[in-house]
Amino acid sequence: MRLPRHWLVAWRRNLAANRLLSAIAIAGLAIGLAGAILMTLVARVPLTYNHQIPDHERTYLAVSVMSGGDTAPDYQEASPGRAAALIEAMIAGVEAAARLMEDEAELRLGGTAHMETIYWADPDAFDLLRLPVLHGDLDAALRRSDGLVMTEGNARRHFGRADALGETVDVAGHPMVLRAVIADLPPGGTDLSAGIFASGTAAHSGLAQLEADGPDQFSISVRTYLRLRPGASEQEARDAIQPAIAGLLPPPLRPAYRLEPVRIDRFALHEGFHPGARERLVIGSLVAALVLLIATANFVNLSVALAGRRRREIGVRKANGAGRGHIAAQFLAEAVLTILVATVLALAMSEWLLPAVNGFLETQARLDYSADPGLLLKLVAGAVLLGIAAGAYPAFLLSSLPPTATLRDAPLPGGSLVRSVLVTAQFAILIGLIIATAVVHQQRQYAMREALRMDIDQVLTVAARCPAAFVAETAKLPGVRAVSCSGKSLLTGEMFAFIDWNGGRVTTQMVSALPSIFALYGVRPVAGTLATLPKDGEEAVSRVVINEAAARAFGFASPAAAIGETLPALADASTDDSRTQVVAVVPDFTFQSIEKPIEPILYLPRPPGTLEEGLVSIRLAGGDVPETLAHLDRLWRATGNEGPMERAFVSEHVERLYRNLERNAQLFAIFSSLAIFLAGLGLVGLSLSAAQRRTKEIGIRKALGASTGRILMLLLWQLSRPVLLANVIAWPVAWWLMRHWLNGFAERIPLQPWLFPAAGLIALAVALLSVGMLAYLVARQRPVHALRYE
Amino acid sequence: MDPLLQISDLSRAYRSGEVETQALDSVSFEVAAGEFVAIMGPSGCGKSTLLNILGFLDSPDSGIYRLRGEDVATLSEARLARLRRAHVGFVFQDFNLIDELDVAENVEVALLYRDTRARRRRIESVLDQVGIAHRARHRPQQLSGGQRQRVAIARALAPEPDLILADEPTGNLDTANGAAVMDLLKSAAAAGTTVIMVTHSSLHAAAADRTIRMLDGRIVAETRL
Repeated sequence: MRLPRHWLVAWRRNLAANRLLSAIAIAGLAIGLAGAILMTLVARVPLTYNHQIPDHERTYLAVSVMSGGDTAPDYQEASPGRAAALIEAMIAGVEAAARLMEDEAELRLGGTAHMETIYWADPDAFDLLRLPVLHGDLDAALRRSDGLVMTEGNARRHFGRADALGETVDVAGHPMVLRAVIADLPPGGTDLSAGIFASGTAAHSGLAQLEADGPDQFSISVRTYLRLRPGASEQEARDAIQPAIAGLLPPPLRPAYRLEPVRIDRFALHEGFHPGARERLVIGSLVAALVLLIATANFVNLSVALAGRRRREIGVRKANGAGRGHIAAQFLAEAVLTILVATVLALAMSEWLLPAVNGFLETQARLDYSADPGLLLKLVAGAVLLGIAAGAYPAFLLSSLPPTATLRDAPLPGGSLVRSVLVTAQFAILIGLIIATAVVHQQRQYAMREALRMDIDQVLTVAARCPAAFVAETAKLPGVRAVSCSGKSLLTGEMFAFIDWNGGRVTTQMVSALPSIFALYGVRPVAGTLATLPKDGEEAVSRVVINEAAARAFGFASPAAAIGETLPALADASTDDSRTQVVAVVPDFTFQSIEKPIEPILYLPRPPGTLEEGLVSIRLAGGDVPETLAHLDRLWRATGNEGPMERAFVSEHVERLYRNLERNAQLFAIFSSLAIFLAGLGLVGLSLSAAQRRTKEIGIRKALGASTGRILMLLLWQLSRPVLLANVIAWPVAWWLMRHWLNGFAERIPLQPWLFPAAGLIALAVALLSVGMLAYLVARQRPVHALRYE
Repeated sequence: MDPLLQISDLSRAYRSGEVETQALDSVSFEVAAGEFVAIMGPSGCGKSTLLNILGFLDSPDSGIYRLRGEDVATLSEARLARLRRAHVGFVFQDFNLIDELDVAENVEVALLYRDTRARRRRIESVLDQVGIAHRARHRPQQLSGGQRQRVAIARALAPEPDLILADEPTGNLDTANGAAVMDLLKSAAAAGTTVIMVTHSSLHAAAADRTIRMLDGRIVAETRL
């Protein structure tokens, strides 16, 4: 034990003796580690999703997918009530299937009652979802029609204790008995949103009522879980589901509806239910790893710089019989101890920042040592491994020095090369992050402004089917510039049609809109004219406006070539002649995300029809918006409309569309700022160390006539070289990665060449600002002071 | 008396770019166990190189170095570390104490890598022997030069080595402190420890049993008192 004790003393006192450099190394590492810990905690939630359920890797939720034309499929977690029985009976690979049906039910206990979200569950639901049971017989609990299962938290809330088996509570007006208590569901860690499960065999249960429906009644109202047999093929089950449930689907729905099994442990990263979550996780983890790399590189650099000051100690230890192993073990142990200190700080930072991170990423990550005792162990083990990795190089370098070299005041051989490589790598990452931040920001700006190809500034929409009085009065308000009406599909793009054309079929969106809608959004035709269209539209549509994408889709050589052409546009009962003439072609303006190509759109110049929800667009003058909004609210009621007015700015709709992009931009910005801070911190540490090491050299240079300015230039040039070199590495890598990322957007910005040198200049500025003042102070020292140093 | 050390035709050259410096050129001599030998010569004559090789801190390019009859000139680094551990104590001109450790801990460094029992008692005893026990918890920066060198000698004596190598141990000390340090080295030799000391001082060399004079990497004279 004497050696470890001695190492501990040496480590502690060396930290104190070099407190500024040690603080820089530890603080930098703690920040990098906190980022990594936070991302690990965030990543754990989706990566361990539903892992509390045994056999989660072969348990699936059958989800509904509605798709039509080229529009994005719509995913719903619910499925048809009769699908489970069919799947279990007809698909050999399915071992079991069971249903849960979410419901809002009144729970009454004693004199108090409140509405709760509960699940009506099949009797064998817990055979499939074997959640950890704390009390009672979970297998039998729901087989009795009055059976009730609660999570521990719910049992405590309702009965004051967890072990409340046999207690009765009225559920939806019928007494039910608590038969089993299961462990609380991890927040955000499961697809279940409620912790109360009532027997679906009860006559008053939602499932029983569903059974009472006739076989021709189709609804998507239950959660269907299925478990495959061990070794059964997922693909075979997937392929077999559709034929198995085909009989349940009304014929018009069959082409558009499918039931798809989604593994319950992959649910949190499913693109259909959690769009962007996977990309955010990958980007966040990658960037956090890069920031940790910067922090670790700083740590290694500063460790080598600090160890250089301990040559004498190493020499003395070697002269007294220490072998290479002793020295290497000592420095490795010191690195691990230092990293453990940084880890403790990082854990404290993580606890503090986790609520903000959860809010930002909309996650429910937790740092709960009591609920997950293994977590601390894993984090400490990770820190020890990082310590060994980071301490390996300094330990190897110092232990391999011959004793005579350590007792001389000679620079550490090899140290400066590794230092340069690490600083270069740090700045390459920094430059890459700055470029990525700028590109993501530019793409976001482009998506939310230029790519719209219209003016949405101060445009308000009201969900209403063009109420005439309201529209007329609104147009008279002083704070309103223009009012127009359209179908809601202008915003949502959810109305589409298939048009047979030249032997093929063109899928187009259909939008009903008054002709004035184009002027309201600042859209001017690129060919033809809107002037021939009646102001209030026409019920029997004979003319149509199309966008440029439609002109291309129908094969017209140019927008101008489309003018005067007729399209078999409408399967419209209101007109005998379904052929309509193209009178104008408008630019590809869009309210949809530009991740997908802009679709062909036919604008039908008619007031919103009875089959479609309507939308009133109002352009405000922008003077006194709150007062105008108050006017509108009053007008809404005064013109006889019922209920509150559903109004929103179009800019809010666009912001919602690009929320993922926005979050990615913020994620990059946060981590880039961290990287800038850490790289600057590292350079300050290194230059502090270098300044002390080179005091004598500076004294000699000054004694021989060098001016402060010359020495300052020399120091800055030497510190700038790795930063300049970093550009050579960062530029091609960043160009390739960002080009790949931009290719994910149908409409995208070009990669601006000036971004690359600009990022390099920012990195250089960070480097010069970090070390400039220190270099100046060192350079202006009097030679006599510098030469007296030794 | 059997020789503790036998050196025969030992050579060591250093190369720096195009320039080669012959630090030791066919040096041969023997040192008996318990002998006190002084090595003198001008700066750059190879004294410190010889001391480093004798203490296994450096290896010769050629020649034979026998310790108790065993050829140790070409051993691996790990074996040399073990030999240092087993046989050698060092005293340096600039003390080479570790600033972050106190006096007792500095002495303890010499015992850390050896299987020494009753370590604490040994540290107390050796600090007492050099008259610095009252400063055991002080840091090197709090001591005078003479006191620091006493600590360095205590560290060299602590593991009871066969051989103490002292590289100008009085070079940074005033006369009184230099004399005190010489008394300690003489006591060690008298107790049976072989002492080889590099010095510029004829006065201090006179305290040794034998003086070897070097010039340009060779032994040019030997004087036995």
